[in-house]
Order: sequence, then C-alpha cells, then structure tokens
Amino acid sequence: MLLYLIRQLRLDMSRTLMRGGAIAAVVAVILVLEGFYAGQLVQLRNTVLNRGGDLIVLQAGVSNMIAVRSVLPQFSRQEVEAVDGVASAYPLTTVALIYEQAGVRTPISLFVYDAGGGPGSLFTGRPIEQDREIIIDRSLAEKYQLSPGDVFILSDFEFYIAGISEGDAAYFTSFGFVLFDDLLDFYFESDLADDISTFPLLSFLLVNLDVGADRATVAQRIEASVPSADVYLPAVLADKDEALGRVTLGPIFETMIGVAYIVGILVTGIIMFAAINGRRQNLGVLKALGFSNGYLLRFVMLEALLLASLAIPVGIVLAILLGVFIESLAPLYLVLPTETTPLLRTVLACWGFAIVGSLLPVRMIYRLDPGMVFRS
Amino acid sequence: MTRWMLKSLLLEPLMLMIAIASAASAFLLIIMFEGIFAGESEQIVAYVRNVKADVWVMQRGVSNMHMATSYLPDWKVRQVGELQGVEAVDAILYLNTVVEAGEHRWFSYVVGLDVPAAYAGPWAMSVGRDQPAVGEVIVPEVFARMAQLEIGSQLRITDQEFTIVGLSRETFSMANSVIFINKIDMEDIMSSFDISSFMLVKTTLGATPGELVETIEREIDNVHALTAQQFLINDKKMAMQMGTDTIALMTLIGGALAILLVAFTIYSQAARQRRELAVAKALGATNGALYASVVFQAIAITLTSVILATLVAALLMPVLSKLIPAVTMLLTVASVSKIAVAGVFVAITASLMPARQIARLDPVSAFQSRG
Repeated sequence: MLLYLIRQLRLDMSRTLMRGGAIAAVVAVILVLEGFYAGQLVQLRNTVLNRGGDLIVLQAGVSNMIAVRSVLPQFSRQEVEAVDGVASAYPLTTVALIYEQAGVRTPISLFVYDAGGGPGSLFTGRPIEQDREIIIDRSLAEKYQLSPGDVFILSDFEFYIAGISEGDAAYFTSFGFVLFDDLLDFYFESDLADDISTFPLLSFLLVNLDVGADRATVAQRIEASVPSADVYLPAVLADKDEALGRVTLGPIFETMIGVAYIVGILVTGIIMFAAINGRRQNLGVLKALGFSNGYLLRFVMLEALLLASLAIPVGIVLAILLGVFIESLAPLYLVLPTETTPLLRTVLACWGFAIVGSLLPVRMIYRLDPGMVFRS
Repeated sequence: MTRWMLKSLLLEPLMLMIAIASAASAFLLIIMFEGIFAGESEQIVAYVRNVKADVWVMQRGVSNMHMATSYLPDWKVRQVGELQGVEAVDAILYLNTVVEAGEHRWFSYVVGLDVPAAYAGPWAMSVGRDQPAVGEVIVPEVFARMAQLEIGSQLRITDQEFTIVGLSRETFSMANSVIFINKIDMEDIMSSFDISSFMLVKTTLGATPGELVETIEREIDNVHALTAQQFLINDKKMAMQMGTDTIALMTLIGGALAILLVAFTIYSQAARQRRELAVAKALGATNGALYASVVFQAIAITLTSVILATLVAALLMPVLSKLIPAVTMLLTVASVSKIAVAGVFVAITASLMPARQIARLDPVSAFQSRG
C-alpha cells in the first residue's frame, strides 16, 4: 500500500508539492506563533535569572522584577549584609524611562547596578569603565543605529555607549545598564522631576551567600531583620514573572494560536478533501478491483499522514527561518519555534488535522460507484 | 460572455465550494487577527480616550502615559488651577504594578484619584461607587468576573489591602487594566508625598485647548502640556510599540499564510479549468476573454470567501469574547475592506500564471485525449 501511495504522490508532483507546501506553511505559522509566545516568557524569566545572586530582596508585597516599581529603604543593604550567612548584597535599581531620538520615542528599563546585576552578554563594545557610560541592548541599538562610542541622551543627560548587550529585553522593552555612581548625577542633572525623592534609589538587592549557607534559612533571617522587604530565590521570582507574562500575554497569544489551529484544521481538511475528490476515478478503479471501503479509507488516511509527515519537517525548517528573520528584523523579540512542548503539540495537531481531513470524504468513498470507471 | 464565465465558474459546484471554503479559512485567520489587533489597540488607550480632559499636563520631557513616569509637585497643580482659561484641574498619581486577589495576579495601571475627582475617575460604572475613599478600590468588572471578586472583596496592591467598592466598565485590557484607588493610598504605596503624575485640565467656555497649552507652558516651569487629542495620539503610538506591535507582527505572519493559501486556492481553481478553457480557445475565444474569465473567477471566489469569513468572524467574535473576556476583539469595515483588497490583488496575481499557460495553449490540445 505504501509503495502505491508514494507512486500516487509522485504521479502529480507539482500538486503534491503545493499541497505539502500549504500544510508546511500552516505548521510554520503555528510554530512561529507558539515560538513568539514562548520567547516572551523566556525573556521574562531571563530578566531575573541573568541578574545573578543566590537570593533577591524586593520591597515587601512586590513579587516581580519586570514592569513593577520596587522601593527598598536605602539602609536595607547594610541590614541585609549584617545577616548571618550573607556574603554580599549588590544593589540594583530599575527606572522606567522613555528614550527619544529624532521624534521617535521608545520605552526603556534602565538597570542601575553596582558589582552584580549588569548586562547579560556583550554583543559588541566593552563593559562600563568610565563615568557616564551606558550599555544598551541590541534591540535599541539597531532601532536607532547606535554603536559603542555614540552619545546616548536620556532625559537631557548625556551618556556614552560603552557596549551593546544581547538578550537584555523583555515585555516589549529594551534594557539599558548604568553604574550606581552615575545615578545621582543622572537624577540631579537630567530633566526628571523637581523632586528626585520620587524616584527609586534602591529597588532590589542581589544577595550572595556564604559558602555552605542554606538559602531558605538565610531568606527567613533577612525577612525577619528587614520587615520592609520580601526575599525570593531567583528561580521563584522568575516563575512569578513568567506567570505574570502568562496572565497578561496569555489570553491574546493563546487566542491567536487557537485561531491558527482552527484554520489549520480547516485548511488541511479542505486540502485532503480536494485531493481525494480529485482522485475519485482512481479510487473507483480500486473499488472495481475489489478493494473494500475500509481499505480505501485506510489508504486515504495513510496518504494524508504521509503527506503531513513530509510537510512537518519542511514546516519546522520554515518556522526556524522565519524566526531568525523576525529576530534580525526586530531584535526586541525572541522567537523560539522549536520549544519541545509547542513543537510536539503542533506535530500531533498536524497529524490530527490530516486524519480529520482524510475522514471528511468518507461518505464520498462509501458512495463511490465502481461502475463509473467503465462509463468514462 | 458573462454567462459563459458564470457557467464556467459553476461547472463543478463541489470544487467551487472547496475553493471558497479554503480561501475563507485563510481570510478568517487574518480577520480574527486583525480583530484582536483593532480591539486591543483601542482598549489600550481607554483611560486617556475616555476621561473628559481638554489638556494634559505632565513633567517636562514626558509626552504620554503608557509606561511613562511623570512626577509633578502638588503646588504646581494649584498654580495651574489659578491660570486664566482653566475651569478645573483633576490631578492623578499613577503607577503600573501587579494587583493580587487570592490566586489571581494582574498587571494593572493604578490611578490614584484626588477624591472627589470630577472627571479623572471611571467614566462608566457597572455597579458601586466611583470615588474610592482611603483603603478602597474600583476594579474593572471583567477583572472582577475573572478573579471571582465582588463588592466588598479584598485585593492587594504591593503590601496593602483594599476593599472593592465599585466595578467599572470599559477599563479592562490585556496589558493595562485600569484600577482606581485614593491618591493618599497611592502616595503611601510609592512612599512619595504631595506629588501627582498628571493634571487633567478642563478649559473655561471660550478658551481653546491649544491656547491653554501655551499659557501653561509659559507660566509654569518644567512642565509639558498637551491637548487631549495630541496626548491620545502620543499614548497610542507608544502603546502600539509595547504589545500591539507584537500583535501586528503576528497578524503579518498570519497574513502571509493567508496570502499563500489564497494564492494556492486560486491557482488550483484556474489550473483545474485548463482543459475547458482550451476548448473555449479552440472554439474561437480570444486570449483576452480567457484572461477575463480566469480573473473574474478569482475575484468572485475571493470576494465570496471574504464575505463568508466575515460572517463566520462576526458570529465567532461574540462567542470568543464571552469565553475569553481578557481579549478585546473589534470587527471593523476598514480592516475587512483592507483584507478584501489585498485578497483580490493576490487572487488576480495567482490566477494570471495558469491563465498565461492557457493563453499559450495549442487549441488542438483540447481535442487530444488526456493520455
């Protein structure tokens, strides 16, 4: 049966290629949509995990790092460092700002760091070595065609770009990194609010523990000695940011992916139906030769599965290429079309679409009159 | 000629239905994506669009609300209130943060109202009060329904507990649900006092927003004033970059698939009729007539598919909105028209390739056996 099937598919190569191509395109689009959503969630997680530290201290009641305001009392660093088991606590502050150049405005998250919590990995340039230097994410650099050495004016304050980092963006926002030494100058000299006390001076503390210290125990000690703070393991905080992303972005992404699945079923079904309808004559011959309805049904199902199986790898490659293209066009986004769960879901769904599509013309197969082949 | 083209189109009704269904599926995808894009684009600026301010005043250097940080000392609010041409000023303190209710967590824009707020508060209420006292909160009714909250339920913003006293309408969006608390509570949360983020100014009768903007910027140091219209444009532009741009990108990807599927359908439909068109050519039909027939069929299938997809989307959107209240969908004539025009263009282009092959066909081939 398989040999006959392959011969059938090769018989009209251009039509097989078109049908396979259409199914591959459906697979690719679903994978890219899934990859887009997965990428957003990974970016949210990485924002926390790339900052480092064994524990992260936040304002009490705040349980996210991204897109929220956390303000810790200035003296909390000393209090945390005094806790038994804490080796060091690095300050980290985030400020939401708008970068503007030639009338084009872009929201950015400015991470102000000391010894830890800086940019993930440098794409080009060097780490910050001098006053008034900044490292910006590649997404922002490419949007405004900025390079190391360029001036970067933020709220009328001049920074100089020391380096361009990669993977430092999340929640549709690019990150910038400056050192704490520049924060007060920035607040005083920029055209920010008249009263700088409104801006956070300390948002988070990245805590490194003594060798052998137990994270949970030290976290409890910190919460007991600094009541205005909550303490999280980086992985737990990353989970919370991912969960927030699922709540905020999930409904919309899932609706779009859901619609794509529905359309995928329809398209694959219609393609299969059209293919089988176009081969009524051949199926009639088989029926006239004595093949049962059940055999014909298995035959068309196998054909559909074979075509889907050939289309799936092409769809995956297409999705990867599309993802690379989107990332090169808009580095703000991370597209992960080959994440295990969505990939498996899409492959299974594609086979499912193919089976459903091949079952659509069941009635037509059962009602096929074998005599038709002798009347043509 | 027209009769022949119609007959040709309806020659194989089943295949015609398949072609229409296939193209309609592709159009359905793009209409739904466009619907989500249009809905979210409108909803993301719901607050700025609906409050009744004529002029917005903010910190210098700031020109929108979405994800922006603006702080103004309260004495500047009083200064603006005393300017000529100003009828009233509502000041708000605003913050984006996560709101928690039981197991549910939601990213929200929290607006601290200087109660009584004349027009900066919720503009449409479902139930309850629209002026929150200290310790009280007004949340979107969609948010309340999803988190199973009601009047009297508790909700947490950072480490403070609030009691729900009102459910507002039209304030829910994927990325920025708007909730309202008292400005005193907001100052506590932010540990910043006697400050506001934005002033919402109403002009006196006879004064224009443009004139008032000039007066405010001339008289008050370090502030930026914008007419409500310009502020809305700025905010929408910024909001589009953060989130809705992603939807636009996804819509583009969906659109690419739709184009491919429509092209595939139309190409298949035209290619299927090669023999019949060859017969027509043998019987004296000109190449122009053959091209016209193929293009006519492509347009007819495409437009029927768009209409069918629009009808399905119109039926599907209210159902989906009930099932997924977090997603706002909007079916607009503009987006359907845009899709129809693009679809017709793609269909004509896709139909021309087989039409060209037919035009080159030897009419005798029509009478040769299929072999």
